[in-house]
Amino acid sequence: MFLIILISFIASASVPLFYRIGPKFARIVMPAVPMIIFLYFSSLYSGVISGDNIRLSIPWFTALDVNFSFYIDGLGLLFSLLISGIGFVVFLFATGYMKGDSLEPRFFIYLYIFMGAMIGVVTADNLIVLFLFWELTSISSYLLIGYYNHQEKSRYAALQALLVTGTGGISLLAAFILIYFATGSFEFSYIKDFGLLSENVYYPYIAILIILGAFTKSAQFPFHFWLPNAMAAPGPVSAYLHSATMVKAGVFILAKFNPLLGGEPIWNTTLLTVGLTTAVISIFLALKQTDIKKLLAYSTVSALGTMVFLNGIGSEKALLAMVVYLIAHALYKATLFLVAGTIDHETGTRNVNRLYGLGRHMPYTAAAALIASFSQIGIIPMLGFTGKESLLAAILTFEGYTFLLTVLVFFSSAGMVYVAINSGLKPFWGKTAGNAALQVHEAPYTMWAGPILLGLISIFLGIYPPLLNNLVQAVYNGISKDDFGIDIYLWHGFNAEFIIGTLIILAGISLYFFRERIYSVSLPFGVIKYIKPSFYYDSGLQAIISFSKLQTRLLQNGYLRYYILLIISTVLLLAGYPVIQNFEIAHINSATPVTFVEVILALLLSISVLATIRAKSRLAAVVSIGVVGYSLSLLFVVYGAPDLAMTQFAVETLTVVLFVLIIYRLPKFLPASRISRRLRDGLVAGMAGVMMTAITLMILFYERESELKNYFLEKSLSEGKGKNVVNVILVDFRALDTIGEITVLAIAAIGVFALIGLKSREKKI
Amino acid sequence: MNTTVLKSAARFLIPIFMVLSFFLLIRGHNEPGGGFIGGLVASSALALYLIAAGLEESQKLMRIRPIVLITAGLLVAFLSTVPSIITGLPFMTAFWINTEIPVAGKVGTPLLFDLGVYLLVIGITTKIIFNLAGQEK
Repeated sequence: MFLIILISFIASASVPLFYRIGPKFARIVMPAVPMIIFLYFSSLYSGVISGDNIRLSIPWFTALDVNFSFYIDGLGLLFSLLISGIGFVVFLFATGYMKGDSLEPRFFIYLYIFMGAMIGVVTADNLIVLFLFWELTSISSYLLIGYYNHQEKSRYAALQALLVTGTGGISLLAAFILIYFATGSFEFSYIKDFGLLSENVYYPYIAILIILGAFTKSAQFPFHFWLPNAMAAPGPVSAYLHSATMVKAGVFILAKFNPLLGGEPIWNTTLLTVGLTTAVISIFLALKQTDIKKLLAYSTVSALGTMVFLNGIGSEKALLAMVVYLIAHALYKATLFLVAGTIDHETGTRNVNRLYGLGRHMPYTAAAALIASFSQIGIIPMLGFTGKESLLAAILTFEGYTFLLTVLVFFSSAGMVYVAINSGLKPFWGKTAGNAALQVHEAPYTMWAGPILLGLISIFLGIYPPLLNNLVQAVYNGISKDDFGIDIYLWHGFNAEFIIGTLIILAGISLYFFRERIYSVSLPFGVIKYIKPSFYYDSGLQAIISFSKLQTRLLQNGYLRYYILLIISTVLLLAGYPVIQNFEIAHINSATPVTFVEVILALLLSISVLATIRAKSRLAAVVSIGVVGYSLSLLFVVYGAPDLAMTQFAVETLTVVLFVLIIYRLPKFLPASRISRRLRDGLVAGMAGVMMTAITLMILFYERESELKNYFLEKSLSEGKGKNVVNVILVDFRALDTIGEITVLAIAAIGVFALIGLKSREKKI
Repeated sequence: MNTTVLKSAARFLIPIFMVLSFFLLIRGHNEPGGGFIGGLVASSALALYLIAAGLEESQKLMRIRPIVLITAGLLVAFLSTVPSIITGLPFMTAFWINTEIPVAGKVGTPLLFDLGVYLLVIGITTKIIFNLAGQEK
């Protein structure tokens, strides 16, 4: 089990090794890994549908209740099967699609990381572990969208996707922490026993944060804009991440938390309205697209919206419809995206208006596209038909606004039909006289075998539902509070659902025939700019960049003297207030009488400080500041701190040596000429001095005795076997600190080497 | 500052400095001293020689490149933690040899650790100083 979750990451790390053995060998291994995962999860099927959910846990941070625990129930199993099964098809496809790409191994490294992360998301029981995997999917998605990193468009889209889904990830983490406050656990299988959390004070926040996380991941309005942009990714990535699996993670989270959060208006109404808005708006946006991948992307967003609002309705039929719709969508949309990838690969264009007549040249791809389109259209006996029937059944039994809902669903489903015809059928039919089609030939079998397989599964599940029935029942039991016996079958008779379904298909076909008219309708783009959420994304991002530029210019302007000024002023501000608050005259009187040696040293210090300030040349300043340092170490000697004194001596000597070495290469010494600047610096320095004195005096009055001091004095000889307490602390009691410090020092030395060392080496050669 | 007096003085002083720095290192556990101070003293000696004799001669004198010292220092320091890892005691638990040695007193992993600090400090200081001096040309 753990091995199965790990295997993708192991495979990811071994990709370069496989390619070292030979590209041919590697391309055979690539799809084998998802196949193994798929077979493993298939073997759990019979156990899970009979209710034996699997849970495994390895302790990690037990004190924080964070453990590597995994849990497989119906929902987890369904998603794992989809991820690994479609993963197999996608990996197989990618071995053909990416063949010969200069960075082919890198692509598979990313893709394996993604698959492992995705399996982790859907099987994790511990919410923190789930969050980690969730973030990993965002990161691998970033890497995959930006795969063609020489293109500005790809980099922009990758960053956009990362920022949008990353924001959602953070809100998900916040929700998980609130859930911990509410229930005292991060383990989902334990939290689930609490039942509905609606009584809890945190409930509204948890619900909203979870919704936010899910909506960003599943590209719900107003966060939908990143998904169409993410089409800059290679074809297999769009099929795998941005239609079949990752974007469904949001739907997964909503379904998973439905028994905890469902049933309240804040949950159901939000999901219903936002889901429906997304479904309608994105299909409206899809109508005008001519890029085949964008067309599919907008229809994916619409389908995700449909799943979200079905979850919002929350009735037995709606949840059932959501699950069936989800499976059907994953199967046909992955195929359509892969086909779009093939078309792009073979013809070099994704413009649907330039594509026709490909069917004769690529019969197998055409067959796969045909099956998938039929499923999306909802033609009997595809699983898509069952999906649409159950969707309509859920709508028609919903009480309140039934008519409005039906109209909106009718519109979005008709749009789906339009997209299916335009992207899956149109490129293949017609004459071959087209310019793009002339030199086209069929893709290698790796690129059409998988899509056809998915199509056949779609037909099989449509005609023979028992296999599906048991799994959907298991999923349903996990995501709903009510018991409901699920019985999926293909033919329900000539009822309202069937009639409306047929009308939808007809409406979609007429939309297709009026497409020229649709293209020619122009939208008032001046106004639309301000309704577009991506406009706010862009300007928000721009504002953040401007702000950070501004504060960098103010705070880090490259002059060392400003840095010092800034640091000291900040300390003054932060520490000065409590000092003024707590300082009493008694503190001054507490000082011990001054001895003769101290007076001499204080005089020496003062004189050398004055000399430093008045110095006319840099060398004079360095020497007099050196005197300050040596006087200080004398002070240490007087007070009986030989260790400190020796260190101070050595450091002071080396500092002077360093100064001497670089002094000739510094720019001409300019005393701070302006009187205002001198006054400012003097003021800050004087205040810092006063504050330090005050603090020192206050420390003498600090009543509480430090236990550490006694502990170290006592244990130094007995435990540390040394009489020099300072040194024993350094190398024994606090050795871990020291080891950290010397490591940092070594790294700093490398930094020094990079800054000044390289230059001198160049000269030596 | 290529003067004969300073150069000859430095030749005599270096061994004394080195012995002193090593002395500081090993007595550090019981008397004032320790790896950090010892390292700084040794570096000061090398810095003195650098000023007196120039970069090339100092590098010749050192024989070992500073970066090697840095790596060796880190390695030795981490080596001192190995016994605690092997025996499964809390990380960096000290181990001691029971026979006493003059000056140092008892010998154990903390001294080894201090030796690592010593080497590292010498390495880093000379690295910085040599690099700065090397730029001059």
